Amino acid sequence: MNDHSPSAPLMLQTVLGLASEPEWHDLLHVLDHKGALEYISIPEAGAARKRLRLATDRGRDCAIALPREQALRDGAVLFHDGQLAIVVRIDGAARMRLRPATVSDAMRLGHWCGNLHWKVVFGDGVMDIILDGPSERYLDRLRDLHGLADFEIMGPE
Amino acid sequence: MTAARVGIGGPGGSAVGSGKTALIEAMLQELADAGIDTAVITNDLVTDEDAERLRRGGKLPPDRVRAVQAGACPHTVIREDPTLNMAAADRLEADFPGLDLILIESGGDNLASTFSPDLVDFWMFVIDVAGGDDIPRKKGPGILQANLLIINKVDLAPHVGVDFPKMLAEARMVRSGAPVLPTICRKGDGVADVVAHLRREVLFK
Repeated sequence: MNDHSPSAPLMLQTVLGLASEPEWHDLLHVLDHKGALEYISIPEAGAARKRLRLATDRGRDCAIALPREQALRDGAVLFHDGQLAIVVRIDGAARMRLRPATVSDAMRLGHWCGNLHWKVVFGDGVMDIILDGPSERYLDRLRDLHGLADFEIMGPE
Repeated sequence: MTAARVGIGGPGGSAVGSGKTALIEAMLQELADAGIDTAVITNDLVTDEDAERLRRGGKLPPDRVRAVQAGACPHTVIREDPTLNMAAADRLEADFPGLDLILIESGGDNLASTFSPDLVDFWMFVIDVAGGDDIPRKKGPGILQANLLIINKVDLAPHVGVDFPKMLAEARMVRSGAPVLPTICRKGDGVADVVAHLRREVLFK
């Protein structure tokens, strides 16, 4: 299936496992010592995609085409043939943490960010926005909400 | 390998659209010539207008063109709840094993229209010069986040007072170098470049 000719990308069509799993950990460790472990870095904002074309950290041209039911995640092993392994690294995006003052403020803040289709992660009393672009773009939108809701911006991390 | 799902969105709703359906019509011949087995899903508000237009065009057998009626703002069925389109794409794949590509055309929306990654593997946003050369500068999510931005009807630029090279440069600047391709879909100009881009980035053939 895979064509290794210079013009054709290496096709990566399934998640074989996770690098953290014991059976993969040892295999990958051996390949790493041989210089035969390569990584594909994927921005967090693009990790939901099923198809991507990009290069490994050693410049190998790869085309990812996963089945619909599979998902990219940090540590996913996409290729292994005994001589070479390729593992996904999800580059964690910068985040902006928001802390609403009250439950009412939290509801307004959540509604606002939802309307803007921002990707968020909920924490204990806080909400982290996953930034897909300059933080100024997010601060500009939050500026309009001040006065309607009381919240603290704890800054991009 | 399952069929690639590619979204095509863009502003619309006025008397003249940006050229999404015209782009699909022009792409179908290029795709057929390249041996890319293709089907299309159209999204209209409460009609099957775009699907009927594509069926009349005859570039695809009629049963390879499926229509979804949003019944509400077009973005609701490509982003908020894309299940109608996902189901239509699943049916096409079941009906046509070996399909390489499903093009999913959104109804004309606004500059904030985006596709859910649950629905598509890649999406394009189509604007046109007649919509005004300030469109890229407005930095709508559709402009910024699309995998490929297409500026259509570039031949109209002198007639609508648009400095096209400046518009193109601004589009590339606001997208931080992400791809932008000019087209004249009505004449087929630039469409081969769009198909070549899709083949490289998402079809892999």
